[in-house]
Amino acid sequence: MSGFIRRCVGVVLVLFGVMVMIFVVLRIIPGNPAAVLLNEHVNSATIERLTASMNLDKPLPEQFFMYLAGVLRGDLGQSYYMRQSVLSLVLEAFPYTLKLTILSAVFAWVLGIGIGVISALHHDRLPDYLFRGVSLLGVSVPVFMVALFLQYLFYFRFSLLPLVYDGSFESMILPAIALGWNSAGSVARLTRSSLMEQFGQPYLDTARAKGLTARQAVLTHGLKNSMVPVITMIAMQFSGMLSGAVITESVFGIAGLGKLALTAVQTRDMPLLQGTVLFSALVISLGNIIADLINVCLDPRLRV
Amino acid sequence: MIKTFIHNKVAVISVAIIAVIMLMAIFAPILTPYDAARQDLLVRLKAPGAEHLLGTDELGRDVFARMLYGARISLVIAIIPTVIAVLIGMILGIASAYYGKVADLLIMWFADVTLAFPGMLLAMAIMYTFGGSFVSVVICIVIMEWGSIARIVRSVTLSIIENEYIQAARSMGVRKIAIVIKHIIPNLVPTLIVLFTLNVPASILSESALSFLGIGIQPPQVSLGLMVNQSKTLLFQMPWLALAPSGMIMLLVLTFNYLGDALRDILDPKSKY
Repeated sequence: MSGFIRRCVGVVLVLFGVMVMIFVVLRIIPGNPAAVLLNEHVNSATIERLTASMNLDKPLPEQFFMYLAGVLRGDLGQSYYMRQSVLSLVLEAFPYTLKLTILSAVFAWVLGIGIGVISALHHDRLPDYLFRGVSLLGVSVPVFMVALFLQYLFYFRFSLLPLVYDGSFESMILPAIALGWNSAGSVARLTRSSLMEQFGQPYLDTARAKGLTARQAVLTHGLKNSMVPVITMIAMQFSGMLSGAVITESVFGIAGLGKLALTAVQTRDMPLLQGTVLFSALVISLGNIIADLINVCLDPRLRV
Repeated sequence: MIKTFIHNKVAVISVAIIAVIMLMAIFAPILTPYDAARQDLLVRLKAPGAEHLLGTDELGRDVFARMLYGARISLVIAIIPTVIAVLIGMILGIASAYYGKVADLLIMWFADVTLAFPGMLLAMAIMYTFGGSFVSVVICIVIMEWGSIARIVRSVTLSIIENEYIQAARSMGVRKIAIVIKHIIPNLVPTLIVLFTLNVPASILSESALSFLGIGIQPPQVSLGLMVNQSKTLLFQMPWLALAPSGMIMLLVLTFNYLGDALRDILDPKSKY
């Protein structure tokens, strides 16, 4: 349990670092965001008024502590461009990203673990070579290419699925596949190597001595033990998926976190960008903690 | 080691493909009579044919020429930030493993912080500040990659330090910096080569994704991701416009991945990262 608490403290420290870093990165270049926001045609008094109302006239450390205090109260500030609280914008966008990420994660795991297991069971024979090729292809294709290809195939050629997201489940299928494709490739590769490491372990002999066939023993006992690194990697991929979501959401027109961040960059909306990044980092860190907990359940040896 | 390399078919074929693409990118002006940026509105949107090998885009620019010049930028962007990230990762990884607790804690905390960012969002923050350009893309990729490299270098260094010859050198009074330069770095070289080869495709993918979103390389420069971005409105009518640059990205990434895997088997058969 103390390990878990230490892990949580670590996460808080990392999130603090994320805050400092994003705060600094967005303010390295001198220049007044208020002036950019209002464009040059207003008089200097208006700019000054907006600058003061956004606290941009205070020294940087003071601005940081005001921001920190706000974050601790659950206040991420006001969006310059959309004139709404950043938190409400982020919370509005998050469910779309979450739905997309979960669907594509399920796709990636089912396909990836399936291919990995088949590859391992037939290692160094034809199905293995075939699937290894496919999974290396999976990790090598850019997300946007998969997305455009799927649109071309399933919308334009066969008109089976909608082109962009319209709120229905069908319209989420293509984005989920596009986003999950890369992860499926790496999950397959890791599952294969991790499962093959279990071959020849004494506990598999015990299982066979109890009457299981070789394949049964591997699939019941071996698979469970081989999943520990796979789950760690899946949690790490969660971060990659949020990155990929930026592209997937922009191709399929989904109003998720990635789209929000892209809008923030395009409209030079600093608080919105800052809030979106911080929120994503929080989600990723929570995902990592959950993965740790799942691993402890799978492998009691990890309980310290 | 060179013998094992030559006997490894995958490694040799990958190196050959990469060399061919690099030569094509370097000698682009000789291979194509067209300029990547020159517009010729009389030959807009031509299908692939004898005069324009891969057709022309909506401004009448030759797609084959743009693909070669795009591959130039993509390759440069793949290699420069990866070298910088590997160097930073090496120095900080060794420092973390070899010099005391405070340095270790601080460096690993910093690595965790950069790893906690979703890469693309961090990239956006950098683009917000510096604007889309070659240099900002390089900065982005370095920040995205150094953390995981430092972590791996740290763990490999920790296992190198355990070796008896290092303890022997220490007990003879060899200075720490000399041990690092004479014993630790040479033993890290295989790991570093593999890390470099496996991070190059990641860099290519990051650059193309950023340029695809319109926040990476800016026109009139060409990059493969930017070409896909510019062709996506014509995706259904003229799929080859997107296919040529995407195919090039895929070929590069796939080949570097194969090479990385092969090098890992050759140089470092025990490792699993």
